[in-house]
Amino acid sequence: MMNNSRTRALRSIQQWTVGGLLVAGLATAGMSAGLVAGEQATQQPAQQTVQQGVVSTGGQGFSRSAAPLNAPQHTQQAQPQVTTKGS
Amino acid sequence: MYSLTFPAIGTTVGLHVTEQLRLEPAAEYVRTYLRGLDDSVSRFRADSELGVINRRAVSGPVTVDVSALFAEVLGAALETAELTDGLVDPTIGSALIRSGYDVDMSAVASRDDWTMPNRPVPAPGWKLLYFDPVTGVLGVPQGMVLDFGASAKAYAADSIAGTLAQTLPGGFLVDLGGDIAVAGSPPAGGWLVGVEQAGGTIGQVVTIHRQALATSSTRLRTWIRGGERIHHIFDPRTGDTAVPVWAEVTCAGATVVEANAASTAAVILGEEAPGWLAFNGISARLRRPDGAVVRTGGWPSTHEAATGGSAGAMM
Repeated sequence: MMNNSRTRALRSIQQWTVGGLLVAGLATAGMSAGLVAGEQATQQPAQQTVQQGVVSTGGQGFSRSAAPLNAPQHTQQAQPQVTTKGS
Repeated sequence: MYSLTFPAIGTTVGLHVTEQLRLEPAAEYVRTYLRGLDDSVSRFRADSELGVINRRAVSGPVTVDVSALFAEVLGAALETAELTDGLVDPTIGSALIRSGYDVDMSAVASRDDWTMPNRPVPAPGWKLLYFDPVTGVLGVPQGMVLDFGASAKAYAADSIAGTLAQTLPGGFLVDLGGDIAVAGSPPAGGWLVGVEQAGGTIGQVVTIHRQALATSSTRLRTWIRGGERIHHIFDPRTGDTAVPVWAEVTCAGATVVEANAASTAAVILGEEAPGWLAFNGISARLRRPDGAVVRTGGWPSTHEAATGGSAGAMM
């Protein structure tokens, strides 16, 4: 199946990458958006989907060993950059 | 850090980037993605893919080829249901509608009152759905109403942040109404996130580097039903709004889908939530309406250094 809405969204990024300033590592996400003709884009190596230091359950249920690594850290900083408004 | 906030999909979207040049292209991507998401899975639009499926299911069972984005969101909803043993269930739509959550929340909240046509009825259950992720074929029994409100934003936050980091240099924090995903290179010291409480006060500031956060609240998205104020998180076992034991629950996870599954399930579980969260190894901060805070899974107290606390439920 082709995800048309995601393709459109990715093209919106590509339109900002003209001149080879940015990259279009789309293959790493398993997507096939295709570059706009005339663009000079550079392919970057695939990034790991599971970052070091974060435990993913991989769809097999919550992992009981995950919490120590996934726990946030307290800070005395008074001014956050973003807040958890909730939903 | 460079930030932008704007309304979309019935909530406030926050986009934060570490490199100024990336803000505008990233915002354009977010807007385009969310327009596609709304086109596909909005329950409040008759012309969305979900709106059409739900309407067809009124008169008979539906078998349909769904779009790739719909399939991805449905997959996240089913993953959420499986992770929570059905406590968070995408077949909750009928229960929400029966209680008055039949249109966008801004319209629901503006009503004086809502009278239920009859008693709450449990959700039919996610295991009655048929879905083949390879072919994209979805089967919905007659009368079932799907609602992806619990997991669509979470999936979108994960997806958007991941794609931005794979496509653009720098670090990205995507906040879809409290569903927070980060990807790419975080700022020095990590992302500073304030845990917001009812009334807008900040209960605690924490740092994250690669974790996701999700917050479920019984204080937001509320309306009057039968003279009583209720909230939008429904228990599929009863088909009624969950008892508001907690004002807010914030959970951390490897993905927002996981964190959101945990925070929503915690609200539904009520007093059982700390034990359930601790058993599942989920780092969480739960706040009661009277202000008392319970932490699980190493969520740090406001007095701890940056190493975090020990696992298990604690006051």
